[in-house]
Amino acid sequence: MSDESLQRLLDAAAKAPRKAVGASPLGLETRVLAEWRTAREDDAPAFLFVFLRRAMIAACFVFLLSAAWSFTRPGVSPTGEEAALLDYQIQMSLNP
Amino acid sequence: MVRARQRDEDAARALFLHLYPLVARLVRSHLPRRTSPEDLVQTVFMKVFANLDRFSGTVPLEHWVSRITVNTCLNALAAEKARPELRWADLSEEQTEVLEAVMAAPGDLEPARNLAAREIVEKLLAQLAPPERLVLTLLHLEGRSVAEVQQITGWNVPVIKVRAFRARRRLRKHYENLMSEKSL
Repeated sequence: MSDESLQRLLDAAAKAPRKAVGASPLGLETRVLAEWRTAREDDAPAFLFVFLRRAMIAACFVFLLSAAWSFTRPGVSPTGEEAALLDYQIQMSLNP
Repeated sequence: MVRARQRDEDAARALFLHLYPLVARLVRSHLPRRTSPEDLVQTVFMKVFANLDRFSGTVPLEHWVSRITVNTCLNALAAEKARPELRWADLSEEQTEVLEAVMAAPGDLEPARNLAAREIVEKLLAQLAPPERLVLTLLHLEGRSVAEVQQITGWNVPVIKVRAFRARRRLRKHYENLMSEKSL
């Protein structure tokens, strides 16, 4: 019963006349465009911020890649080999 | 669209004038109690202009703008935390007569009472959660199809049907509570 009467209420509400949407109220268009203009002017620092943030993320990525690459190749360090050889030669010259 | 994206003010004005009736109609249907429709329309247009670059063109512009409008309204409704309970004593004399007429006899109400019926339904809907209120307004008050609701909200069909079912059940509960006060 309550469902039927609720449906009748909804049907009646759906038939209620609605206010027609006319032209935009005076000043609304100006307000919207003015805010849009202001937001546009504020865009430059925002672009710079976005660019710097992306550059920082890219730099971190490159750093991590290079660190990972150097860890995966621990045995091929010509500088290390040369240092060991020199160290051996020094030791030999001091204690023949 | 292209000129507005390039920040041409005349194009932005033309876009505003083209979209205003759509946005205003949606805002008026889903307006929170204490929010000015003009403020909400302005918020919607700022979101539209700020996201013009993201509009891919895969859906019609009107659908895209409808979704922005509906989401803005839902956010505003969600921010309005208090949902006052509707009591019989809150109704006007005309509204109580409408409810008595609805309960008493089957058939349509007199057309002159439709506006009062709408006011009651809006008060009942104000007690529901924003998405439930939205789906019932679109389906029952605006007479839109599920496909249209999908276009406006972006929700898929099962979500719409489940929300509508639950919303209808909650609305009936609020309605029954209101009617039980009348008999006291």
